[in-house]
Amino acid sequence: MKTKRVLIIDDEADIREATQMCLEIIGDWTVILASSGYEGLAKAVDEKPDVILLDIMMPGMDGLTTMQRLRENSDTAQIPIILLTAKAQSSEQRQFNQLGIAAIITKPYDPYNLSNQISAALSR
Amino acid sequence: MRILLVEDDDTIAAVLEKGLASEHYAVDVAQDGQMGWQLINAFDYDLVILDVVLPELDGIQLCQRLRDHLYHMPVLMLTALDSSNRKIAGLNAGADDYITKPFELDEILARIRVLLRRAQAPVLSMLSWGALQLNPNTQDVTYGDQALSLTPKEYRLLELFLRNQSRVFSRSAILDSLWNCEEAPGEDTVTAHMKGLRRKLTAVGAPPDLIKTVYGVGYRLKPLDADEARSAPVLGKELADEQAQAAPPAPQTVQQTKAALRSLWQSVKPQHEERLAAIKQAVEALAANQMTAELYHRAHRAAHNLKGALGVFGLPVGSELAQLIEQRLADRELVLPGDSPQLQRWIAALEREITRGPSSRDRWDAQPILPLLVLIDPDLMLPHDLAKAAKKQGLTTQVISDHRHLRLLRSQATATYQTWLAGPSNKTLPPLPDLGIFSCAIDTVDEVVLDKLSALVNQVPPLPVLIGSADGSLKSRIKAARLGHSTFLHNPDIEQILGCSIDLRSHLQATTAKVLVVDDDPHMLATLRTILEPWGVKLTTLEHAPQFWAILQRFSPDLLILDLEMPEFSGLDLCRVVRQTPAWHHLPIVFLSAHSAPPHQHAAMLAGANDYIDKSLTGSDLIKRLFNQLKIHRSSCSSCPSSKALLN
Repeated sequence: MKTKRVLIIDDEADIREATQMCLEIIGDWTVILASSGYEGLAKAVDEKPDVILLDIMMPGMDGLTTMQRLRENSDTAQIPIILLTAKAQSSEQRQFNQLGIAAIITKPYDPYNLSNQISAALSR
Repeated sequence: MRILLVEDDDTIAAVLEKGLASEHYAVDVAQDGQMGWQLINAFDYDLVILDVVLPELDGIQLCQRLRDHLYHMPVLMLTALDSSNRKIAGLNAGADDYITKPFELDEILARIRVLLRRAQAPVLSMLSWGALQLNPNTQDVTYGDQALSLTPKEYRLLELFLRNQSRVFSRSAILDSLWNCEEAPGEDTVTAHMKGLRRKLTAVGAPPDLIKTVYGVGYRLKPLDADEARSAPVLGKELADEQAQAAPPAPQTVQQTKAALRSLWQSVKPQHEERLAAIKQAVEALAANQMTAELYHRAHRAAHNLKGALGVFGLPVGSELAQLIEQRLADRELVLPGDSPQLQRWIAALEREITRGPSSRDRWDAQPILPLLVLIDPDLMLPHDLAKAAKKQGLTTQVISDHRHLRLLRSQATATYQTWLAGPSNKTLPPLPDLGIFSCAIDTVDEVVLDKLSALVNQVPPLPVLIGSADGSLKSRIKAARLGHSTFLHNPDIEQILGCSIDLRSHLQATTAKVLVVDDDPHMLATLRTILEPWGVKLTTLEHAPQFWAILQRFSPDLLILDLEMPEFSGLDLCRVVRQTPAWHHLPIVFLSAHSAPPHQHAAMLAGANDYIDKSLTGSDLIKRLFNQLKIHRSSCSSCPSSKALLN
């Protein structure tokens, strides 16, 4: 059983920690945390996670810019990205989908189902 | 592994207890069926050994009751009666195996091993994790080719993890599994044994985090990496395959996650309070026409963050309120000082949610919030206008056109509540609306209709009611009060009705109270169960006072109900014991007694009771008195962090 590794990039410390807890308990994920887009980029290159959970609304480098940088870097271009967003309007979802992401998970997410949502997105 | 032995013969019980303890099982002994039933309700047992002929409640009846209440642990029947009929009766009642007296201790131990293996590890007799192997038959433990010499408790600790390879165990869950009631050590003991076990594992070359600490929760086996998994036996791999199929998480895992989130909540709560303060500050500035760009942006972002975080931490109403605030603040140009009263109401409701925090209840789902029944005077507004405005506020509504529709809403609410009470289930019911809107002028409604309305509203669980009336006379108010849980508004506008509705709904997300009742009268205990459980109260009943202390510590009730006179220890004795322990100073204690004379009441109050209730009191009055104590207790806990910390 290979431990799956997920990088969570979110500026909200409580959400980061709660997400880490849920994924460690439900789903055996190894969790790597980053509190900003810049830190996320560096950790994605260093750690090569199996998947990245990326918050859209962050101060400094926002989620969409972070995603663009991840795609531009050959080391991280292939890592599936799941967007965590509170914006759930269909026009925005269509826009996000065009960016080649694995899935969008709307906040507040269901903590007990998050691991399954990520696994389902990766198996598609 | 924790085993309950229900046996009234002291000699046999002593022999079995000693034999089981020598195999490192934690054993509790009950002398009769009733006590056995109480212990089963209070603790998690891996296996139950039942004598057939028992006082109070015989073994077959107890076994039947266990299965009726969906307890699935293996049951081994033990009896001197070598009769086929009794064996068949026992097996039909749900026992897994049967052994007749006189018995060989070794045979019983072997059968217990088989039953436990069948129940918990269907594949392997050898338990393995990477290079670590534990043989339950010989009790040998090896890592690679090196043998480990473990103490009995370290051995059982390791076995516990190897038999539950994906489970996270809290320290208290470990205590429950490996120690019996009488030992009842503190959680530090678990930490000490864990330290010893880890040291021995590391000494033979195992990774230091083979049993890793899960922050805020407890311990679990560290998942194996790919190479280790390939060489690992089947159990770990099967679990991995199951997880890859994205099965829903087990209820036990969900409970662990909930517990972890509740624990994390305490440390992140200040962040939420800061966010709330940012919103408050902006709305105060708005009311004073002094809103600045910075205040506005901070508040908008705080509402946005609260919406996401509160939902994850299990405060759905708080998340909804934050969303309403975020939506109202969406466009700075459109936010006007006139919006501040509505915003302040939402903020007040949100503050209550944050103060209350996530529910500590153990149920699979949050308690359903019942629809608020809004009876609105047709002279004030039309139900459809109110429904339209409610929709804009994110509330779901159902306009009720006649009493038939009202009965339908009532039955939907009852069905949802009963499904929730019954516990985890795949049954899905249609969602309940937030508001049920019914056109009704309370001042002109006749007595017959009022009685019918009252009967519908006050079924268990009673529906909350909001009444908007054009007539504010005392007569109208008295009529409205007859509906029970009602709130009366005189000449409200739509905005006031909706603000009050959101406020009331935030109050309705009640948490379940845990109540411990000690009474030697089984009929009284059964009566209390019938009265209290429909209200979502989690009840533990205890007939025998000597078990009191262990059960109090483990169950950690929100309210204690004591009988005055009991054999062995009186209620007054127990009350004094509770009050002399700092951690329980604030626990509400209510005496329920047939003795109504003032000297008894004085004695109870002197011993530290909060209330003294006559057993002849009717069910509804009893509930009011008990819930009043819980309400006082909760408000004092939320306003006094130190006392809350003591209780936790």
